[in-house]
Amino acid sequence: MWTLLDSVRRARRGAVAVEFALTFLPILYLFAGVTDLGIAYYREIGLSNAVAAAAAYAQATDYSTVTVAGSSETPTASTVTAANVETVLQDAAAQSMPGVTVTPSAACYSFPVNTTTFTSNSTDAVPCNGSSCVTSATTIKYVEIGLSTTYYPLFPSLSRVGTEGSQPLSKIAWVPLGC
Amino acid sequence: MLKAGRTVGRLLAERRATAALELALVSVPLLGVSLGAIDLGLILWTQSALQGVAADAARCGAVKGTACSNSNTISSFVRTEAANWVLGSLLSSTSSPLTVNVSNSTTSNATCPAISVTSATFETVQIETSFFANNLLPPPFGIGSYTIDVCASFAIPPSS
Repeated sequence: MWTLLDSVRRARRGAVAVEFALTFLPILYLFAGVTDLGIAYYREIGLSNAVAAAAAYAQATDYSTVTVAGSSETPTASTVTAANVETVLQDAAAQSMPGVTVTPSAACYSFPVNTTTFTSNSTDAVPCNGSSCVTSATTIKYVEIGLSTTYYPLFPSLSRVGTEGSQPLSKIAWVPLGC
Repeated sequence: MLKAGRTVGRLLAERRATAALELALVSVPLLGVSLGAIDLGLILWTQSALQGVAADAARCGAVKGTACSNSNTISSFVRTEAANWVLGSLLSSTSSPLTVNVSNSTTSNATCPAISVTSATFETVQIETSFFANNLLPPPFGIGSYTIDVCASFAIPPSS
């Protein structure tokens, strides 16, 4: 037994193969990680761009109707619809990352003027178009613009990106609308 | 014959300069993979840069700054900004490297899907270019000719 161990320790042949096997594994992990993280971040940038385009659309469509909270102007009805925002999200995503399946979502909520954190509680939900929060000058209507996709890593077991071979990615923006 | 056999036998028994021989064998695929990675990186860089330029130009056209009052000025905006980001010598034609299509409203062309909502008009900018068609690196190493086609849209705000 010991003589066998000694002879293995003294052996000098095959050292290159052993070194290759030892370094190959970490290099493979690094390669897989860089590739999968890179693609995942690239997708996330694509989501960001589409959400930004939809936010710009909501503002452009609503531009003439936005009223500064607390001002004496009469709030006017918003013309933005959730369905249109979702269409813009879908089409803008198709422009910047063709072939990638995305799920758009848009919904409107009404919050008090000095709200700083937004949550999509169903109790605050209001229709996007129309004058649904006009009853009070102390509330602002926001449209929540969300876009999500699922990234399937190329090397899930090596890169450890995602769980069970998939990584959900999503972006959300809150844009104020006229009431 | 006998002499040649002896030479082969001596060469087989030779143990010097194995590292140089291994390097010679390995360097061919290694060089191919490296140059391919550089090519791929340059293509992705160019595509991503042009995507950004298209988005900027669409926005510029939508808000109608003095630099982007019509489709001609938007095209030159694209060319000026792209020249800051894209390595022009890598494109197929360095004299007129980019094809720029500017459209608004709902007109759609084959490669650039329009944004189909009726409640707003969108400024759409499409940029097309051909990459590496002048074969800086030959196809076994480089990827050969590759067409980059990007587009972006921006909602035009009402002129208040």
